[in-house]
Amino acid sequence: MRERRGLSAERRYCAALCALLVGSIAQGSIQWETTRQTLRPKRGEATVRTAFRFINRGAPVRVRHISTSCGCTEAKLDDRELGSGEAGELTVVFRIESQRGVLRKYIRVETDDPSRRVEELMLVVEIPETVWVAPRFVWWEGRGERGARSFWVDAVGDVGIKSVRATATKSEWGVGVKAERDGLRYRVDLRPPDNTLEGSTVVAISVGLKDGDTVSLPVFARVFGARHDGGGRAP
Amino acid sequence: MRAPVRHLAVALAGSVALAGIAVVGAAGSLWLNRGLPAVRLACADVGGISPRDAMALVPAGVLWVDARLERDHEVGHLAGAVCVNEMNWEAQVSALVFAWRPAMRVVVYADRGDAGAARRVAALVRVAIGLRDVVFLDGNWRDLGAAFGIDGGAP
Repeated sequence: MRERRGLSAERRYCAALCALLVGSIAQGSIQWETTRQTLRPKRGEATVRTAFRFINRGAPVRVRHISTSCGCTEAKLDDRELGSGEAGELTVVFRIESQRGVLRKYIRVETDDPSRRVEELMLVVEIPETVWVAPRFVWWEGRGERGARSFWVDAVGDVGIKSVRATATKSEWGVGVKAERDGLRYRVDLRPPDNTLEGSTVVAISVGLKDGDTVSLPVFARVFGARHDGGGRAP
Repeated sequence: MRAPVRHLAVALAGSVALAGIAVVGAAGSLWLNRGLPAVRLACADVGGISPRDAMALVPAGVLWVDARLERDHEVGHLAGAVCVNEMNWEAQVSALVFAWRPAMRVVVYADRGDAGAARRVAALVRVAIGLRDVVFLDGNWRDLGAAFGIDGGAP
């Protein structure tokens, strides 16, 4: 019984040692202060900047490649040769452009560190929504079905809507905007030309906000002919 | 003996009352904010489909939506899948709506074990984009590779 206990303790010791060893290998030389950051830009800001700080706890490492998941995100490292014990930071610039909502952008850092060649950093950007347009796609199916389709523009948050303009890329499509709740909710009605058997258009929605900002969003519309190549579902 | 029982009953009744108030408060808050996009998306009625059930779909009657990042999509995806992810969906709407045909069922998939991402994108496709027949794949999309084909060089 005593022998069994001793063996078990040894096993536990070995397991803990192995776990520590594996853990230290899996961590890699570069230790990041954090691999995930959340930014909340203020309204009107065009870009936001941040930095991911790190320290090289192992042998010298070379950063071979840095890539991002979006053209709107730039990541830069001044010195790609990281000596042992060297600290630094990866600066990240995110261009907001027309993006809104909760966005997740990834930054991939590839090194020649054999214990951890790739590190993926995540940048979460929370851009307050001001306008919600839905649905973004309306369609007509089959010949003769030509009633208007509607989509709605809603104010989200505390900034009201001053004006809504809707313009179809094809002028023969009928577009009308009606306020359902002034400053808060607008309905846009879209109607294809009477003689259209098949066709599509994009409606550009331009929303003027009470704080002077403007939000532009597209809505897609399509008329499917009597014969479309979509199949049915298996029963 | 009676007093502890009474105290326990009072404490239980208090807890139940507090829980009731919290539930009513949460329901009221949900109702007041029902128009917010986040609430609409969270409450979207999208169901899951198992790979086994998805095998019964006719290729021409299904539009696969790959909810992973573009770079993962490029490495390999179900044949004909359109990439629409939470990060970049606004820019990807046009590709989705021009690939879709009436009567098509939209099946959203993500990486194995990330059905949450597939479900969130399915909710986006249904609520924000407006397609009606949308489900998410609750399983490994690679299980469907033999039946539907894989594009993009995945093994």
